[in-house]
Amino acid sequence: MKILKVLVLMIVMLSTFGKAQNITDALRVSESGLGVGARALGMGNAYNAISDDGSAMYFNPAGLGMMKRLEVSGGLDYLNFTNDATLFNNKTNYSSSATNFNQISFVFPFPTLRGSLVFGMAYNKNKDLTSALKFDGFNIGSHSMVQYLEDAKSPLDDQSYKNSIPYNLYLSDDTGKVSVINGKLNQSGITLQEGGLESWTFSSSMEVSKNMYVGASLNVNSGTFKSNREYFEDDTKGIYANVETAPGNAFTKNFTTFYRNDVLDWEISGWDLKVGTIYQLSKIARFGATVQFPKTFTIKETYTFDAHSEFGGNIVDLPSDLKDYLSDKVEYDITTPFVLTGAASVNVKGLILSAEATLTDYSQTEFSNPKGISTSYFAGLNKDMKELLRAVAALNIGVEYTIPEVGIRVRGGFISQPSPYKGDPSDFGKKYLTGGVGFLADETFAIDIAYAHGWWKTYGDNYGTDLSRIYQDISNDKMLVTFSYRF
Amino acid sequence: MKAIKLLAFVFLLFGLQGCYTVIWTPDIDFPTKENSDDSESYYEEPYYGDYTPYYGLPWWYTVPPTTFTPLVKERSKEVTKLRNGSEPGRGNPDRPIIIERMPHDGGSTTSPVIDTPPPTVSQPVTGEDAASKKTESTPPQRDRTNSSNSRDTRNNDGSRSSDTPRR
Repeated sequence: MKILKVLVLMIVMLSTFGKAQNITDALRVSESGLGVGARALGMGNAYNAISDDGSAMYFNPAGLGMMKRLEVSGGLDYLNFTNDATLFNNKTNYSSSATNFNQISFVFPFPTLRGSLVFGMAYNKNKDLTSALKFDGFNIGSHSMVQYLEDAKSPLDDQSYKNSIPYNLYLSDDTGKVSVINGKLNQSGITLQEGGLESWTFSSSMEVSKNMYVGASLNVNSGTFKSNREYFEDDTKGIYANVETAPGNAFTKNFTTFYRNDVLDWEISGWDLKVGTIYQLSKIARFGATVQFPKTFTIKETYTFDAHSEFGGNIVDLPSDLKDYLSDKVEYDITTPFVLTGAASVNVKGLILSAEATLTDYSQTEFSNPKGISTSYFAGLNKDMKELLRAVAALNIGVEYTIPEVGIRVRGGFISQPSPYKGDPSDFGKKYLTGGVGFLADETFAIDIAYAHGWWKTYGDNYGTDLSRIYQDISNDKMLVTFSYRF
Repeated sequence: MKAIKLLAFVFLLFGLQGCYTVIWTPDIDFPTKENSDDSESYYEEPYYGDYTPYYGLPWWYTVPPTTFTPLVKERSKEVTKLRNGSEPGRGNPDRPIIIERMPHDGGSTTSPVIDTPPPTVSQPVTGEDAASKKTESTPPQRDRTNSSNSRDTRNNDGSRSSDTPRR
């Protein structure tokens, strides 16, 4: 029994210095992306109370009920993520880009003598998970990742040094508990992330009373996410040039580099339901509301760990059995909170103004059904989310003007998504300025183009809390083109 | 269980026939602008130009109405013309006549007899109808002797005509 307890504790402890699930993982699938449809994005995604095309299945399924013609549409998007990172006052710029199918949809309005009954089906790329980070700075403090890994080892197990990373890389003494390394290392790294959340969506909407529409979307979700993080600690100032990092082992005298590599691979699946309503007030206004029921994502996670140390030209690799021990495959669920949206749009002589507010209480996000992870770890994590996250109201504002003589529409918009963390200042919230243009040919074929520029701040810790913190200024540029054919 | 309840809700919603919406059924023509009660369009002329029909014109308005040809039981003149046309057949006056000499009690010859082939029955007949039709299609010898060569008589036989498949 005692051995079992020790093993469980070791798994928990190892997961904390390896790659443990954390709040960032939960927010990755909880926070909304930039959605689908160029017309919507051009209007700052203030589309809940407009939603009269295939993207209604994403924004407000009730809007399908206002469609009278069959529609086939599809879109492509291009995303560029740029990160200006600052570590110990040293700035490093890095970027990554991705091109994806944004949306393919088909809408079928059933013939009616009065009212409407419309069905739709779509493949939507709801959120792009592309991101990048590169940092490089000299840490004058007396701490490092090597020491952090040593500290994370279980104090209850006298033999646990055998699984200690510093011990196996000759960066500590024979007990695995004491390292001569005491900070003053250059810390650098690169993190590249890619993937996205997609859904197959099946929707229907009908006019339940004059100008009042009700709809629902059933989303079958899937997705992938891959994160590849490389981290280096280099003795760039030769502080440990004449020190045996593993006493008694002469070859460890010229320590130059500690390296670790964390690769995280997710397969994401799940389903959810969204219901909505729209009321059209004559020809002048529409009011919309949606309820996004909690989404449950099942995450199949594969984590691969590797590390090595360098002494002069000699490299010491981590033993393969320890690499396997530190790598793992686990499975768990992440359940997102309810998302409530209220919206209105006003139509005045070819000019449409639209706005909406979306309430999300991120503190209700939960980890559950752990397989290969301790239940108590998830309980603690859920408690942390209750304490650290908050309810926020996102705002979207958009405008569109149609020039009827030439069949062109021009658009602009603004998106504000406050940070879900309690106490974060406003510049940690995501903000986007958007714009777009639409063309219509022969009353049937429409092309819409949108561009969005977003910016926000965030930070991340390499280890510990505020010991090696990377401050990040992020900008995100997205170009989206949507083609629609109505017949 | 939660998933089943939500799915049941969705299907209920999808299958709901609202008190307002009246859907088209296949036994009637597609709705037209005249017999539909359209909702107000958000994209009104003249401010939206071509976008007005892009959003507002139901696709079924542009589908031509379906026309159904009624099934007429009466024989048309056209059919009569075909039957009596120039092609060799039952109504063709140029059709070769087969003359046979029938045996007689006294061994002497009688008047020429025209022997027509039995009428073709295309539709299955059963029971009493079959018996009566068979009788009609093989008229008595006496009639044949007297007036069997009268085309008018044969073609005015309403019951036989009714056995002919209509087109």
